[in-house]
Amino acid sequence: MAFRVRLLHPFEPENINMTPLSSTSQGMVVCSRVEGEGPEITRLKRMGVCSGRPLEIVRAGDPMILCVAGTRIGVSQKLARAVFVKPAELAGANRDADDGDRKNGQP
Amino acid sequence: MTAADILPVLHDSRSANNGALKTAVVALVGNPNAGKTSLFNRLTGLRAKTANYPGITVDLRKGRMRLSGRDLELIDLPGLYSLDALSPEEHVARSTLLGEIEGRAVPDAIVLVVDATHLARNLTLASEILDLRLPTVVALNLIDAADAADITIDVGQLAMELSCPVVPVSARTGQGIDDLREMMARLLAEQLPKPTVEHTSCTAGCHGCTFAARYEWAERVTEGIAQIPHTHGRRTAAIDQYLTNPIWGTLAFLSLMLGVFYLIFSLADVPMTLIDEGFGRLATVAEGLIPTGPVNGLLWVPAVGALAMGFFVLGYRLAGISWTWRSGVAAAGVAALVSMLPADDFRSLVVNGVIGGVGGILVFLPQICILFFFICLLEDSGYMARAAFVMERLMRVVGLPGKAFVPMLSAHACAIPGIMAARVIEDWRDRLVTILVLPLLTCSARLPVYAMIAALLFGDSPQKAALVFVGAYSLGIVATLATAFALKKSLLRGDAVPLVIELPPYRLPSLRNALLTVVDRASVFVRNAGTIILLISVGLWALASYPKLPEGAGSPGAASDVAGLAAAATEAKQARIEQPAAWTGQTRAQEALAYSFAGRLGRLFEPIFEPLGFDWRINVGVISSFAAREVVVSTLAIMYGMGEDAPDQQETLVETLRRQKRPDGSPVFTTATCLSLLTFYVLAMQCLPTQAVTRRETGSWKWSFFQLGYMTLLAYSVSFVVYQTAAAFGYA
Repeated sequence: MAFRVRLLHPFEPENINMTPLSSTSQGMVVCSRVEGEGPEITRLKRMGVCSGRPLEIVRAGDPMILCVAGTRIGVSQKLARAVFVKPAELAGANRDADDGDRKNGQP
Repeated sequence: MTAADILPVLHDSRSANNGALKTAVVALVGNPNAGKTSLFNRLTGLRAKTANYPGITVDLRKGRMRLSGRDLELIDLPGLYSLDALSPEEHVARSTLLGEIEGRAVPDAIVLVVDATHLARNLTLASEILDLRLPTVVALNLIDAADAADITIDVGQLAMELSCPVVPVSARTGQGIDDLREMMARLLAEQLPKPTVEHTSCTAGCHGCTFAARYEWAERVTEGIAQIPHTHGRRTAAIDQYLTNPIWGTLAFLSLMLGVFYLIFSLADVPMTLIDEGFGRLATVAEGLIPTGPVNGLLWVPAVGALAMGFFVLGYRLAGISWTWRSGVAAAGVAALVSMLPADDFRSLVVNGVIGGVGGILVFLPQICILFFFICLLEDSGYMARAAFVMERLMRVVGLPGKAFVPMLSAHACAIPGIMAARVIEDWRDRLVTILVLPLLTCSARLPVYAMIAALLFGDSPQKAALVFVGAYSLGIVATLATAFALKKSLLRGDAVPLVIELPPYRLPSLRNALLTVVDRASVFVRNAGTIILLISVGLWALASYPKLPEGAGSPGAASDVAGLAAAATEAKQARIEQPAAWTGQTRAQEALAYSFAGRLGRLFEPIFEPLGFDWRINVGVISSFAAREVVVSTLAIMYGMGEDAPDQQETLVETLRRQKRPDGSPVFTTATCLSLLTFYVLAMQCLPTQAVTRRETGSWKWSFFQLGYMTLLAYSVSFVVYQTAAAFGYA
């Protein structure tokens, strides 16, 4: 496999409430991060499953159906395990933090 | 603008290159499912053709247009989600846009096709394309569908945001096409500024991913310029409730495919019979045209030579072979050789080699076309993505993606459309494995062979004969899956690339697009595969015709078969006492074949095929059906002295085959031999068109030879095991 799932440290504040997409059932979530790299991960990211993006889980299962940026996409469980999400209602504060990081990161 | 200005004109490279202005190249770019191909067909009409660059296996559709007195070439690039090249098709699209293809510059302009009903997703790609800073016009396609869904878009505002012209169009209704043409003309006349806007606030040096930045930009733009009702996409969601359900979805898919197969076999029947009869009649006409008596050499030789040369000119033109000194000498040499042939041999070459060869290619064309037609309709309607989705989990067990399932089903009619349909698989390795294993599935050309063997084994019991068919189909499927699994564990190691697939909205498919695709694919098949197949058919004809049986002589080495032949002859004579003339003709055909290279090869291969239970006459059948497996039935008929028309009367053929004895007096077609022969024909390649198509789709002969090699090895070893096991249990 071209990508590996790295275990996240559970006590770091940004990782609280974060679950892999594969074990999330229906509803609105926000993608916190996508682990790994390689063509499969790029394929996933360019469909809109990347950090900071809202996702709607339409149907759980393997493969699962997500609604991203107004289109429905099918994603296999294997890839969903590399995606970490937070419930949408908890994501607001985190998104601001992300924006902050991005500003700091700019030259 | 007059109609003459905007009418697409026929492709003519010479006049185009001599024109005052150089031919402009315009690339059509867009997301998959954005209606790019419909727009391409709308802009170029029937004057498009499939072109491919050297070294690239991907087909690119190109068409000529004339805009305001200027020639331009429109290229339909494969659909993209981003410029990251993750499949061979995307790689070609990317290289074309970046000018990385040898001998091709960066396109002069881009028509960016954007789906008005999925703005956010399409604008994400748009941001990346606009960053290329090439002259671009945005075609806001599917505007009629957006209107119907109550989506309102401020086109002027969108053009401002993108800093490039935006033309709302509908490829389906033709709305806005003239405006688009005019805008393209202005773009090429450099009357419009290039896009300059910066679309991503952070591209490098930022921890977030660039895709997220592009999506954020696209969503911000969409929110500003479009109003999308909340009910949008509800219908697709409602249908998907059932069609992506693991149980209902699978059932729906299987019943749909069953329906498609029923239609293929029932619809293809009439045109196949017509083609078969048409070529039969053509052969009779050709036979009548060629003089039987002595001919005037001074007239004959130049006439036949010219005819042969004309044939080469046509063939080279169709296959796109250029006239170099080497190809010219080859053509002239063969033409000279053909003109030296005695009239009798020339007749046989025309009737059996050329007309028979062309007929053999074209007879499967109806099935191929109908299959392509349905695949294209299903693709256009958005259903194909659901089929891949539903089959994903099952297919992953053998290491293949869900998208491999439709090619595999298609291969049950014919491996050729199956191999061509494997283009939907993005990952090259997954696609290659699928292509390599597809010919193991039972195609319709195997059915006459199965029918003959089933009748040989269980002629008296239809139930048992049906079991033969079930067994052969199952063996094909098991072999396919097992080979795929083995290849993914060894030579092409790696798991199937996990599924990420867009489930596009359901739309009414366009018949026009489907028909254009069918014409395109069929012509690719006939042009590329046809020429190679014709060449080999003529080669096989020569193998079966030379050396000629000397007048009044029996075949040498046939002495050992005299007993068997005599016995068969006596019985057959009783059966056909009314046609003594026909009978001598059959004996002669049989002896001529035995005397030819094919017959000699059959004897040469005797030790090799003996452990499989084949005698030398079966070997001749195997050799002569190398290019087309169904030929074995008629070859066996000739070899066992039945004449060429015998396969039509299956009972007579089976009866005759049953009576055949080996030199030691034991029957040839024992249960063990029949099972071994059946196994061999399930697993062996024996199909030249398939190999030609494999070469085309993989870009090298290497993989077609690999396919031939592993299938022959597999067929031989499994048949060996089957024969020896059956023989050990006393069925030999």
